[in-house]
Amino acid sequence: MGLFSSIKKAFKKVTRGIGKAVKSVAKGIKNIVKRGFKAVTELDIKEALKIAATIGAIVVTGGSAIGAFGGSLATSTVGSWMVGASNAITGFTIGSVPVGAVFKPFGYLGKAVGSTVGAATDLTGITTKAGRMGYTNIGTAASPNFVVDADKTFKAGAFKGDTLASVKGGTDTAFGLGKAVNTAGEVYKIPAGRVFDAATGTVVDVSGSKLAELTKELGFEAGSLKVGTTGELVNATTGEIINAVGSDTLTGSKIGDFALSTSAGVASSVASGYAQASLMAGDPIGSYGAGLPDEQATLSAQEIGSAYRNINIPVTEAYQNLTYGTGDLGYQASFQGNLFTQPTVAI
Amino acid sequence: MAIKKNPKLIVSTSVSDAVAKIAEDAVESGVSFDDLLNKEEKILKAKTGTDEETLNEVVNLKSQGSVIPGQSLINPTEQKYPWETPPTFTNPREALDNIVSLLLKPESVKSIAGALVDGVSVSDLATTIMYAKFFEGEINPDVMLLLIEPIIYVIMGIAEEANIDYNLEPDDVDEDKEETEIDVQKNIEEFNKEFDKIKNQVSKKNINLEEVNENILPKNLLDKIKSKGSDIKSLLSKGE
Repeated sequence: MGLFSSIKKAFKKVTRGIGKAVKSVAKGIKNIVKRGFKAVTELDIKEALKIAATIGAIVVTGGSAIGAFGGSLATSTVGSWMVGASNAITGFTIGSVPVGAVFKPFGYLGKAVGSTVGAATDLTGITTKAGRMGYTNIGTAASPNFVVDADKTFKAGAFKGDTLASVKGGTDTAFGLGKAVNTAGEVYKIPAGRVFDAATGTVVDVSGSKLAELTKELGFEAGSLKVGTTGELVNATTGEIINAVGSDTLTGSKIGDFALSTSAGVASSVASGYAQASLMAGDPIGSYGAGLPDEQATLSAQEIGSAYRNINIPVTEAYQNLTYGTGDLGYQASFQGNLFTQPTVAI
Repeated sequence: MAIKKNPKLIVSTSVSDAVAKIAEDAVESGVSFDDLLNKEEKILKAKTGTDEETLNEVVNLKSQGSVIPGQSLINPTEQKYPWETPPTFTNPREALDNIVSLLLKPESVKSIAGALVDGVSVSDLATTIMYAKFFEGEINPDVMLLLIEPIIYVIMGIAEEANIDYNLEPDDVDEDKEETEIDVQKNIEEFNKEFDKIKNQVSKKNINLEEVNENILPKNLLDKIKSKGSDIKSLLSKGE
């Protein structure tokens, strides 16, 4: 038998086998879900396949590529659960092998590929950017106003524990999460020091009473400060930076930090949008997904090493092995490229 | 139900097995699949059945003849086919990285989504992609077979994200739907009808030596066949 005939034969056999395996996994998931959640009485095979596809795609691509799909894969509870835990791993070596370096290609994959995927499905008209990214219109159909995730909760300040939707349902007139979406579905970043004003649908400077309040709070004379172009608080006359935008601050901006700590009138002025933008922009919970605990328990490197040893895979040759699962080094290494930027620890 | 714990470490040699274990672990950890299950109806349904145009294309392709056995062996040694040279990737993980990168490019996703909506099955797509990669000399047959499963899952992921009601296999049927005897009979009849159609179209094609494509059979060989005709003995025929 020639090479191609053998290949075709093997192909048929393998794909038929995999097709069966995928379907049996889906059937297994039907039973697992039914057993775990009594409320789920009937699970369609297509729904079970969706679960299988979600988990499988996350495992194969190391999660990050699929995470960047946005939409259901990334924001699903199971997706967040899988991705979130791995984000906790900051870096390690196994034996003398620096795992981060070994798995560098997957780090590249996760970063470079993901953002392009959603754009492709947008092109096909299958998705819209706003829909895919999980933006929610909390305005009206005639006058839409999008937010990243209306269900996200504030991590601190006066609205701690409240969702953006509930705050919006109150008396505030402005909102934002550091990013805004226009009616065409285009996302743009709200520059630090500016706010998205829902009343006008535009991004405006922090001004008026809120600025006066900030100025007073920081011990300066009324009217002596203004917001600089990049979000810093500057002397209105000399331009001297009073509060620089710092990456080491809680919100990325001193003004944001201040807004965090104050509870007065945050929801009732234009500045509240800025405050919320500052609040949410650096919110790590948002990237993990709703419903997840604040602190992820760290998976120890020892456990990963053990997982490989238990199945007789020499950890020093892990790169040569094509293995899958949450314990797979490729999976662990691929999230946001953290492994390549963090110091490693020997075990 | 609140999430009780983080994912357990699972290492498996097959994606399907890893998926099953992770799903079980997820349920034990209190991870709900509700948000995945409560999605709206799939927007795009994959087409099913055979259309006239596709059928004609298949018949046309099958009627063009195939390569003469051993043809590749007469090529000069320095003129190798890509799959006869050392592959670009011998490490499956590197190959997977490369292929997934290509698959997740916007234009690829667009094509994949289009193909899935047109009714091409996920397994056929994965097979075609992997076969092309082998044909181009990028991977060897072993890596090709190893990567079919992960590529199937990636395509399934794309399909799910694109909200397509896709076919996993070419002969996919809705497994939740019980097939009645009438359905079975109807399927058999449909198969016979399509089969007869192909058979009739192929048998109608009378081979005319004047119309034989010279790219398949060189002119000098054609002339020889015409002049010698039945005198030409088959290589497999009995000797004198």
